[in-house]
Amino acid sequence: MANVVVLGAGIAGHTAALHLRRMLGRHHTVTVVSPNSNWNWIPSNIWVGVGKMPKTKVVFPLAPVYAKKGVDYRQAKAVAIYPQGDTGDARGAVEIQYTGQDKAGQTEKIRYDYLINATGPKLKFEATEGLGPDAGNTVSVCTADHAVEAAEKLAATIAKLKEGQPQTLVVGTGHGTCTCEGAAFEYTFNVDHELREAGVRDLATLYYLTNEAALGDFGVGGMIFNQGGFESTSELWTSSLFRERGVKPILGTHPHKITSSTITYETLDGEMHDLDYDFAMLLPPFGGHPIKAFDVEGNDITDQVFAPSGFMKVDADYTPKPYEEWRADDWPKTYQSVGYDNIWAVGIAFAPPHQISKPRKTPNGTVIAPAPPRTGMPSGLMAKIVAKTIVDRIQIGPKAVSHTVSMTEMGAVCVASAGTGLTRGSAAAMIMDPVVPDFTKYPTGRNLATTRGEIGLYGHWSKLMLHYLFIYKAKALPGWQLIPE
Amino acid sequence: MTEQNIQPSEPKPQPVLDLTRAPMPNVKTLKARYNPFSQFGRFVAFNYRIMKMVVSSGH
Ligand SMILES: Cc1cc2nc3c(=O)[nH]c(=O)nc-3n(C[C@H](O)[C@H](O)[C@H](O)COP(=O)(O)OP(=O)(O)OC[C@H]3O[C@@H](n4cnc5c(N)ncnc54)[C@H](O)[C@@H]3O)c2cc1C
Repeated sequence: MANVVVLGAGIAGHTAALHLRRMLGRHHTVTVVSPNSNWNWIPSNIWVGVGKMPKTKVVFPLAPVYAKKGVDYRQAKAVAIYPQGDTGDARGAVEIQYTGQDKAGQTEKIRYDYLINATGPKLKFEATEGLGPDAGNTVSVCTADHAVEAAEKLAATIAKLKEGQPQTLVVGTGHGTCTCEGAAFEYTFNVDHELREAGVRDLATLYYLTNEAALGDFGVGGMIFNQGGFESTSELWTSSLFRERGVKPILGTHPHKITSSTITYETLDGEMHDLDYDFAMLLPPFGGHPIKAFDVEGNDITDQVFAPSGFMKVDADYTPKPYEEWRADDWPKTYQSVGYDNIWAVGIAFAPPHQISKPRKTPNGTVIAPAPPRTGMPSGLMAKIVAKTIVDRIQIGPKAVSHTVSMTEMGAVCVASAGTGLTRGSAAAMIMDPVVPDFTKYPTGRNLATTRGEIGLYGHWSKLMLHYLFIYKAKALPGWQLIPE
Repeated sequence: MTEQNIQPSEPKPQPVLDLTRAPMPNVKTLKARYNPFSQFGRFVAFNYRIMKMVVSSGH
């Protein structure tokens, strides 16, 4: 009998747990540890954030799904890992702290034979003074609750516009090292759509404040598309949309301080600026969760297991080297942790080897470097291959070959909706294949046959379809495993 | 009570990207983006590409 423990029940952790349960006999246990009682389809938080969808449509409780499938669910957060076991037991262990199930605050050590870390990002609002919902100035759409608050504040701003008061709205990144620019881009155009629907667009000034050095960078250094017989760029494509919708982009920014009325930011040329605003949705930078690691004697070995960013070190090449020298091969393939062949990190939880978009510094030394995005499809796919590796280890033995998949082989679909409605909706639909460009395989770094950027009503249909498909899959309803990650 | 005429302060200039050279979609393009028939074709093509990508990543 083997005990598999999965930390996190987001896109990666939940996918891993469902596949493990499907592939392993009931005499093996699958335990999921996650502090939130709900599963959240995060991409649709955008619609919650503009008041177009209630929170209840993007979340559902995990406990009934796990009860039905035979997954042992602990509503708790991991606080420490003992990969070598401890003096009492040689098996690896995780120390968890309950956040629910009538045990909030209690701690417990659970043993594992195989461990998957899929704890996703810690939202580091504290990195910028005054950033985020807790500081009370800017809003976020990173969680469903944040998105509910964003919708309320946006509605209040629209109400003021309806009274004839001009308003300044800002959407973007709250720090020079943020990732997930696609989400900020998407929220921008949903806000634009709401303002138009309310008939107040002319009174509103809408800024897109981003750490990207060029529009269409999306933290992946931009894309080249094959369009109408020409090689076009994501920069040209997005610029066109910004111009058409009258959204004002401010590029290469690092906000230093945010108050209730002003965002103080630095641009790549080292200049400081003050932007007065009435409504702002700014994403936080991501880091790993503060999980510690200890050796058998209880010595702190966190820095051996985790990178300084808090993400877990895996089979990537982390050798420091100039940006220009990185190769597709540096990216991990098995997601096995450094030093422990029974621990893996998948989804946002693994430490990327380097930036995909060129990192930059201002003359004042401020780093403005979009971090690499780890989107939904790769997160799910990594989780699935790690689940397969664990199943093989259990069924074939320790010599079973690891399953592999790299971000230089996996694509991402980003459907940035720019308005809702089955006949009036719209979306900028992007396929980026692969996420991490591989110049040894493709002259432009990516597959021109699949990499695409288009705008239209169909994009909205696609986003809606993905919403329903992935919630169906996550609920583990009949045939869920046939829906690709 | 005296009525004050409060003038909103001038917005501070921001280093906004110049988009005047970005291509503007023409009326035909804008209409096509909402034409359900052509959009259905694109919907099918888009999902076909996703499936192609899924298959090629060894799903
Ligand atoms: C607004 C927004 C829109 C997005 N839109 C898209 C899109 O259109 N397409 C796309 O591909 N991607 C999109 N993404 C990215 C996508 O959401 C992520 O790629 C995906 O959620 C990553 O999955 P994950 O499982 O690694 O992390 P998460 O989904 O964040 O899951 C992490 C899990 O770990 C749990 N956890 C946290 N701390 C602990 C702990 N200490 N112990 C145990 N468990 C813990 C959390 O509760 C959660 O269950 C978007 C992201 C945002 C924020």
